[in-house]
Amino acid sequence: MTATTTRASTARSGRERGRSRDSLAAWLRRPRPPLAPPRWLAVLATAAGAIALAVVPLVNPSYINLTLTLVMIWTIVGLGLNLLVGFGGQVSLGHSAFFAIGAYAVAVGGAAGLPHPATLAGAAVVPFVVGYLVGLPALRLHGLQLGLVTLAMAMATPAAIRALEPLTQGSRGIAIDGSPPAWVPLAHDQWVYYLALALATVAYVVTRRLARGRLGRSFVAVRDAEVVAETLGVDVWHTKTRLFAASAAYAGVAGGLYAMLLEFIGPENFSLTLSISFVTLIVVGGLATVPGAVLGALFVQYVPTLTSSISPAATGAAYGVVLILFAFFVPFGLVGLARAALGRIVARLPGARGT
Amino acid sequence: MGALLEVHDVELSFGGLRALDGPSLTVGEGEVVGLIGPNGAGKTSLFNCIGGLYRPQHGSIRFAGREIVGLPRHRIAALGIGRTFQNLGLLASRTVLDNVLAGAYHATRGGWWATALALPNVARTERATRERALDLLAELSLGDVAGVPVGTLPFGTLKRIELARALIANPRLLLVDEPANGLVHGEVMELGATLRRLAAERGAAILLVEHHMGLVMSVSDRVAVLDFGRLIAEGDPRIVARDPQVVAAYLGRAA
Ligand SMILES: Nc1ncnc2c1ncn2[C@@H]1O[C@H](COP(=O)(O)OP(=O)(O)OP(=O)(O)O)[C@@H](O)[C@H]1O
Ligand SMILES: [Mg+2]
Repeated sequence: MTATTTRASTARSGRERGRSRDSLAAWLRRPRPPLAPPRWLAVLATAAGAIALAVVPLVNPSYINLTLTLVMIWTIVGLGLNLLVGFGGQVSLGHSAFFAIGAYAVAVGGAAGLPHPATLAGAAVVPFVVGYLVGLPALRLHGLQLGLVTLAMAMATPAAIRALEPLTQGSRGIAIDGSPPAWVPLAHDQWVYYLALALATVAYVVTRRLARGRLGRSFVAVRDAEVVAETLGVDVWHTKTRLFAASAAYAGVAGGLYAMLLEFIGPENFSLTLSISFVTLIVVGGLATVPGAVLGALFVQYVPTLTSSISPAATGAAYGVVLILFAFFVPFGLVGLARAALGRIVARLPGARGT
Repeated sequence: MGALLEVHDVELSFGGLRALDGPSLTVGEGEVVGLIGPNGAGKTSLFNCIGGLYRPQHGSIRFAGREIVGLPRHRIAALGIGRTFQNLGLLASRTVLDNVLAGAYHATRGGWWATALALPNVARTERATRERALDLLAELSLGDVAGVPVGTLPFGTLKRIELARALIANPRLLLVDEPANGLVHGEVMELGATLRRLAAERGAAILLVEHHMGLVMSVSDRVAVLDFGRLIAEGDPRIVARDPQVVAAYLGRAA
């Protein structure tokens, strides 16, 4: 009955509806240039944001600092993963593994008495090297195959942590001292917050530089047309392995900060779910966009908090639904939506830069 | 010293099909050579052998005195061989300007560290490259579409964008595959003038595959004719055009 009614009404207004539905889908799918705010607005917004981010941990209770720090940690992962997946077109479902390597580099390094800067450097270098090695076979794999191999990596991570018990203390978990050095008059949560803020800022700026210009164009060429890229002189082998290694290093640094923040980690912190939330992050934020990492990080930090108040299972369902919706209807993610919504307004502001 | 490009006795088979059956060919510094032949004669296959996309089973291809068969494709490009594709190889999601800029990859420097640290020469190179790209687009009457995504433009325009992308790297040898495809008559003549000017002003050698005989005959210093993967004639355009074998090859199968 219902079906018949629906069909009848569709038949009546079918043409108009069809068109408006089409045009909405088309409107969502249309690629748009990045927002180009006038200089005064860019400077003002950056300054206001910087001041707010600098002051926030001093006036907030520590649990708010903790979630904000997590947002910055996810942002770092997202920046690197988007470089690889969004710009470079290489799928990875295995970045929780690099995140874990970074976390354990800090934990193990700290246990050996190394200072924070050294352990964080290790959290970048070790995943970089491992990422490079993983990237080698990845050169021969495409799409689904690469997805499966990296998926297997994510699935094996908790078991690998348990197997490396002498180093990682296995299932018992390992404690990390995340407190600031004696000369820093900050509480633990504030100290890690500022570290994460500094590293996320560096990661953001560096990613933006890499994603634009000569290298950014070569990534996109490799992603969209590998043979054409080679014909333009791009060393595809070099580009892919470097992208893999670099994005692993981002995830590693984020993992290191995560370890310092939680001060206690175990295998269950690095489950497959973590990798899935990383992928959700870049898809929701916007593939092949730099600000997308920030919006996606906010999403994966706060949406599960909301959904788990409904039911613990709701998070997985929400991720699934959102991934499907975004993959089909919002290919440029939240950043794409922001561009669509704000593009006209920003372009009309006084002092707007022409495109 | 031999010619800039020396193709010698190249054989390429796909299973039982012999796409190239031992043609030899040279292109001198700054010379424009037309490469013609009926559909399926092996013209594009020869381009793909030169660019390293296909590896011939036999024969040699030397560029500036150096054997390039077996070299990785990006190395061949970096030696100064640029090309356009018969069926286009543009990045559809990108703007015209971005596509042309992508062509400057091997002609510019700026690695990962330099870019991450924003060393001053990176920004300088980027600015200079943009200027060059815009100049080139203007030269090829594409200035108006610089900011437009290529996916929305007609075929003939896209062929010219590809040409601009190949040119921005200042290639010593330019392989152009059917550039007049999709152009109307007036545009073809304009393209001919552009190709001649490129050869004259930039000293670029050009190997031109084209079905538009008017264009080939007016632009080329020399013409080579392929048929069934074999070189059946070579030399002055006017003489080749009257060669009975060439006439037969074209009358035999071409419409
Ligand atoms: N990758 C391939 N696999 C199998 N056969 C191929 C391949 N590439 C080309 N061929 C065959 O090789 C022969 C030569 O093709 P090629 O594209 O070089 O011809 P062409 O001279 O460029 O023709 P056209 O004027 O139609 O572009 C054709 O018979 C073609 O079908
Ligand atoms: Mg062809």
